[in-house]
Amino acid sequence: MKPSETETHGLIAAFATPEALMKAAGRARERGFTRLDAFTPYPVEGLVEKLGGGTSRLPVYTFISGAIGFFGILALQFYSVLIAYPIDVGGRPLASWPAFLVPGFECTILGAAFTAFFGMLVGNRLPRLYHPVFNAQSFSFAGGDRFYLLIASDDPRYDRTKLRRMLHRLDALAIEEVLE
Amino acid sequence: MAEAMRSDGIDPAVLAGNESNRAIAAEIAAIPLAPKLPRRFWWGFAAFFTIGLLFLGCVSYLLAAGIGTIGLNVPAAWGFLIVNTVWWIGIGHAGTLISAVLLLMRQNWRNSINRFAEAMTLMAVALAGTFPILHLGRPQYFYWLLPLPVTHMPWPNWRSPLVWDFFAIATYIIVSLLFWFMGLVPDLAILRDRAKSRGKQRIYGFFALGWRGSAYHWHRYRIAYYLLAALATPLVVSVHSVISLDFTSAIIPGYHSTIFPPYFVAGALYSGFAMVITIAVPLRHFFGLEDFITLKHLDNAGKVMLASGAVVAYGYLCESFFAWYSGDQFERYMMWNRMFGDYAWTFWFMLACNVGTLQLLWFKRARTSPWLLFALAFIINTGMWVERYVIVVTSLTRDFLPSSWQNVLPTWVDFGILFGSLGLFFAMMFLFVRLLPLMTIFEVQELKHELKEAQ
Amino acid sequence: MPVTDKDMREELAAAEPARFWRSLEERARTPAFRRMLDAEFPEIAERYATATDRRTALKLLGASLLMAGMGTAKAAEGIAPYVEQPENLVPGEPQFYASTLNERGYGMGVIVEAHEGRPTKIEGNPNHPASLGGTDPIMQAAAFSLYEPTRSRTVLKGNEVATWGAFQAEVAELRERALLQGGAGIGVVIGPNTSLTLQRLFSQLQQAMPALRFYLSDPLAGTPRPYAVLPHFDEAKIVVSLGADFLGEGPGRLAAARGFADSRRVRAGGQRTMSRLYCLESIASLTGAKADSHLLVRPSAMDETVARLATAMQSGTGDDAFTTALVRDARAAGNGLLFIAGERESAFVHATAQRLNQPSAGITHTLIAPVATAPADSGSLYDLVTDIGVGAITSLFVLDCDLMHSAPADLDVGAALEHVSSLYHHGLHVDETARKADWHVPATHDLESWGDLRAFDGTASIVQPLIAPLYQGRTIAELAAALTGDFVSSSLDLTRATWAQLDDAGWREALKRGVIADTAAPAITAPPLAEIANPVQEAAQIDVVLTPDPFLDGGTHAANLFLTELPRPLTKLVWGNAAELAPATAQTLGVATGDLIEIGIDKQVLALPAFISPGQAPDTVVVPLGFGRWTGEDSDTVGTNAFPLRRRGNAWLLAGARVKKGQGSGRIITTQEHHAMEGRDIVRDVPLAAIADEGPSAQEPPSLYPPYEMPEEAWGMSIDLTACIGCNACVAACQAENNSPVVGPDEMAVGHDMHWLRVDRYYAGDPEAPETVFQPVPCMQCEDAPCEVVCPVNATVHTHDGLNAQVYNRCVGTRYCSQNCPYKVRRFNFFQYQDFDEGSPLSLLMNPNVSVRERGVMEKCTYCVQRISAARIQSEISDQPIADGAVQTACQQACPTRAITFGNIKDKQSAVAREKTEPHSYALLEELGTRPRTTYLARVTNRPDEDKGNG
Repeated sequence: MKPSETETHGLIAAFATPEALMKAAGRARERGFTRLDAFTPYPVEGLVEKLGGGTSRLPVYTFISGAIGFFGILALQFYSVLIAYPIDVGGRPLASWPAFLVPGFECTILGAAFTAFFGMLVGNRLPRLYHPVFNAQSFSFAGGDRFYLLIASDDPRYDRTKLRRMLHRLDALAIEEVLE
Repeated sequence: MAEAMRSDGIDPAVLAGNESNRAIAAEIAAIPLAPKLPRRFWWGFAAFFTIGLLFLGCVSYLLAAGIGTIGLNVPAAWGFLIVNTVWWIGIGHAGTLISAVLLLMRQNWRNSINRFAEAMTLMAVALAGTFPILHLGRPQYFYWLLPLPVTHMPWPNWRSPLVWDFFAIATYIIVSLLFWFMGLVPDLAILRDRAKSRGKQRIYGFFALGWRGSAYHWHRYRIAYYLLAALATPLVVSVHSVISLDFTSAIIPGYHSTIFPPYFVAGALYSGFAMVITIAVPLRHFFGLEDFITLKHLDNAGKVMLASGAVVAYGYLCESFFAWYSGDQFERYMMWNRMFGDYAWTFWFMLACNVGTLQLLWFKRARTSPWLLFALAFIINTGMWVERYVIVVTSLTRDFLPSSWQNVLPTWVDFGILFGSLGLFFAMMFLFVRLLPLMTIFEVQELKHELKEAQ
Repeated sequence: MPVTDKDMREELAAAEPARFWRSLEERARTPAFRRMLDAEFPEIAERYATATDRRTALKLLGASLLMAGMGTAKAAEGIAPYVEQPENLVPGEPQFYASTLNERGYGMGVIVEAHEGRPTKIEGNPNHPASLGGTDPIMQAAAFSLYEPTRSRTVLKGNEVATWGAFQAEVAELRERALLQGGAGIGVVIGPNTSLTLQRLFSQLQQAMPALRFYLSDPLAGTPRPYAVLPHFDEAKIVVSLGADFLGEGPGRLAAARGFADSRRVRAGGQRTMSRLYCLESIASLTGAKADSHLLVRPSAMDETVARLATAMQSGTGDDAFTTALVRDARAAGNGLLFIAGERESAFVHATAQRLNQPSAGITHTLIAPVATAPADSGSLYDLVTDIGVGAITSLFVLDCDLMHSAPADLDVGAALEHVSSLYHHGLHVDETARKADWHVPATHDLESWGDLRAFDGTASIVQPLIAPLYQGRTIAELAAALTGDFVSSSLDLTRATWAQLDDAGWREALKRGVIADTAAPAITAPPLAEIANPVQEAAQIDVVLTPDPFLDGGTHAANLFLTELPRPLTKLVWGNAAELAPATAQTLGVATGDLIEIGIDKQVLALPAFISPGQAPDTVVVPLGFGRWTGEDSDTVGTNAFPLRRRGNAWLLAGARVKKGQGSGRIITTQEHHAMEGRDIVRDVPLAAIADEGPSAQEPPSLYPPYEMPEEAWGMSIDLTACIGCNACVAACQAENNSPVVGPDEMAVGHDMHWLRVDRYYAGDPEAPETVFQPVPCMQCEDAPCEVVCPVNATVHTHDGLNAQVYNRCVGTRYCSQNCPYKVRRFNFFQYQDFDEGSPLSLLMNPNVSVRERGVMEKCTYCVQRISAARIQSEISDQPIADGAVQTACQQACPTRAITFGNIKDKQSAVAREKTEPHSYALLEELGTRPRTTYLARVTNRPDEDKGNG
């Protein structure tokens, strides 16, 4: 039996080369499709732009948390030597700031690194072990020689038959319905 | 065409053979996914793991019987364990350099060797991290170096280089781990989708975090990856500099020297690349990866060694020169003692290994004949270990007041821990090779694609 | 009815062995039980006699506590403070009692510190002429030997545990029999002892048993003389030592050291003159090290060198630099001359010294009649063996000496003792002699005994117990009394009886002051000098000469590991003895340090490791005595016993000894391996003449760091290298005060020694006739301490009064502080050195005010912070500032020459502040900018050749 559109997640088409995928993605945009996604075995330059994405605030967040790391540990150090437990150590001044820079530096890196990594995961909504695309027979991340375009079924202009025809013309190797 | 290549920084020589991406994936993924590996692999593992048990044994004895069981005294209260720390951390540096710095420099040739180089870094640094703790008189309290809000505990003394070490090494381990795991995610996804058995699919699948190669994901992934690389890059320079501050900021002649930070970093890369070669050569030989780890890679590694080794040699020169030029009687005696004192042989051995053998690397022939390179790398790593011994121990046995001068000899526990740690390291490398793709499949595929474009 | 002390003690003595018993057989102590033990439980059996396993130790502890309870009862009749206000015993407050320690039979006055009845620390008694407040390492180690675990604990009959009661019965019976023939057949061997009580008892004994014979065993006896010399260094301008180590040896050495040092204490603002010491010696000694001019002659050449010196003194012209300068100075000095002849030098040397001293008699020295150390007509060991041989002696009492250990080779004491039908031994240990004995009675330690002793100058003082005997110990007096038929008097009664002329007030006064007023020996005029011809010594190729070990005293303290591990002042050797010889001699013999040397006499051959020790005379091998003594099952013998090299008539210089390189090598453990200063500015010299015009010492280097305010005192120390004689008393005192552990030979060998304070010894100049300098190195308490900066956990920080404190609980043991200490004064617990086993009697030794350190922590000198805080508490109670001198560090208090000054450097009037303003005051390694609180006063020299300098 044929699944109804509500049950389908979208339509996925496999291409042989990144170039083909780029072309298809471009065409789909021209046709005004907005709910597009593509899957590639390795990052493909400019693909996201073709799909109409391509901005990320991750660098900003990373910078901010690096700064937090730096000033945080510095504050802690000054607090500990000036307020919490001021004591004469080797006749050195209580606030021996040059020495404090080393932990400062390390904590900058640490803070930034954590944000960069986990920021990426959060932004990508990962980990997410289940995803409809895995239901597609033709979809596999294993090969390294297949490039997929997915048009989600909740796209306003989503029309199964029209789409199939279009993707055929863009010589997709395989076209398949992705179930929820 | 050729220009294009060079402008793109890509050289076909870094990826010989002409398999399809599918073949590449197949070939690399074959090792972790293979139902069983040849017996000799397991023999190798068993051999190293047995040596690794020596480490565990000696450490248990050390903890039970007390720090007095290793070769220490006053004046020489630091010994093998500290030497090991410095040496292992140094080895770690190559991995970070390859994966981070070369990435930023778009040295694509790194792609096929960065994975195991990073693994090497992780294991080396993890090992290095244990020694300073084992070296404590009361190891159970090592966490007192952390600023924890616990009333029974004092604040750490932020002026102490050991606290800096603690932060530096911890940061280094964490960042390396993140970086390494991030690179692994897509490959784990590949293994997930290639795995036949349900179990492997589940396990790899779990760690793949559900990666599916969405273009949006790749986009953010790229940004994050470059960010991490950018953050790891200063670590390459900073970690060993901080370690060197343990010595530089001390008052002891032979420790108190401003040349240390740069010269420790150079030494780190020197020994690190030596270790990369020590691992790469057997790998490519036994798993037939000549197409991925090509002579080009070995050649490049050799060049890095040549460069860093030259800096190290310069470091030796400076140290001796300034000892003399300073006119400081303690410094002068220290250097004289290194060259002609009771431990003189270590100094000359060090020079022979680190400066002598280095000269062979001027010749491309040497750099491109794997097993010769392997031998050189081995000698150089020995030399680098001895270098740290010369700095740490020899200096201490002759400090300011002759009345307190005394030599110190290592005990069997010292040697057990040193060789045991080597065994453990290589055993862990075997496990890594068995369980994970030892090259970044997707990057190799990408490289392939870029090469095609270039043609 | 009241139970008297006497009854109680007898009861207990009788009951004690049976207090704890496992079975009726054991209670009965039948031989059967012993056999059963041997058969069934060998491991118990072997430790049964002197049980040291935890259970038994705890039992004994219990027993000792019970007796300690008695102790107070006993104290009630004796120890002064209790009589007045018993409630004075405040828990936690130490108490101090004056007592006297026995060194080679002479009295050394001490003040003993006790905590809750446990004597823990010995200090010198300022009232006592032999101490003047100073101590030596042996005195410091006395508390250790009290608790020393291998001490003999029970009366033994053969191997069986017996009781005092049984022993008394035995003696009573023997006495009955002996009285019939006036004591014929009974011999008593005693060590040297100046106790008047003993002399009283012995003479009683002789009256009762005229035929009873006394024998003196004094293996370290010097040349007998009809007089003793008491030097007055304050009057002597020129002091000449003829082989005399008056700073390092003899019952008067502490007084001599004080006098000598005071005569050389030069200060810019004060005394500007110092005596000059000429030293003629063949064995490197502390005195030689302090000499302004010294000449090394081999022992066999001593007599003729002295003879030549004497003639030169008359003619006024010497043939070598030494003599020439000496003669010149002697002329100038007039009757400010003082010649001191060595204990063991020949009668000729003594006579010569005496003649040369004649003009300055009464000025630079006085003569007294020698203090008697034994009954007048005591025989020698040779007599003893002969008497036993002819059957004249059948029952022998050996009182507190180990004949087997100290017997010379040509005297088969072992065989002789076998012939004695009944042998009674009394001593602190079940040693070889005790093994041969039919009865063994444990001796009491000085700190457990009542008694009296005389000092080198005849002054008598009371030996006052600090604690009731821990085990079944008895004093010699009690044994002697038993022989006289008095089985009831305690040694207190016996002592009190000797001093009947003192009324109770006088007695209490004597106890408090630690000396009995006006008992010093009167001066005598020099006895007529017999003209002694210069005996001709035939010189062997190499002279072998014996010398008593400075600490073990011929074996008396062999079981005292505290002393065994204390570095010897000159060689810095620990845990054993060696054949010490000068570099050139070593070359001729072809040996290096550690190689075995074989010393042969007749068939006797002794192999010792060689130790190259500059300062020994040429062609001379020096072997210290006192090692290799066996002191019971649980003790291990340390070093080689050299007594067997002795022959009749050559006790010290071994005529006809053969010396050659042996096979293999022996173990040498030393705490200092490098002896040259490598041209570094470590110990500074300043000629006497130069002091005046030398400006103030170098300003301390500029510092980037802000000075910290010291709201209260700022403690500091100054060490006078001119006064320091390197005797190591400070090191011992530091160890005793601060609960520093004894770590054992293996740990010492790898450099794990735990002495907080060390005395560095450097040689300068010609290695064949070197100049020897000493430098005590405690923690410098740097203001800008390099150790503190690098500690990751703030375990070493500065206190409000400027101490460089070490917080043991915080230490995690990175040892970075030790790395960064330029003076290497920090010590690390590489293992669990401290014995936390309450079973061990040594746990009673601990000073409760100093924390006992655990494995894995760093430790170091704290300027005796416990004493500082004690003083601060006092000052807060009395609301008075801490007076200068109120705080004395252990090392300072022990120092016989007062070389160490300590106090508040903020108070410009304090002694230490004034010392630090001296022109010759300097800081060690000043250029490092550590700004040490401990500074030194440069060594002021007064060499003859420096005179020309100032015209």
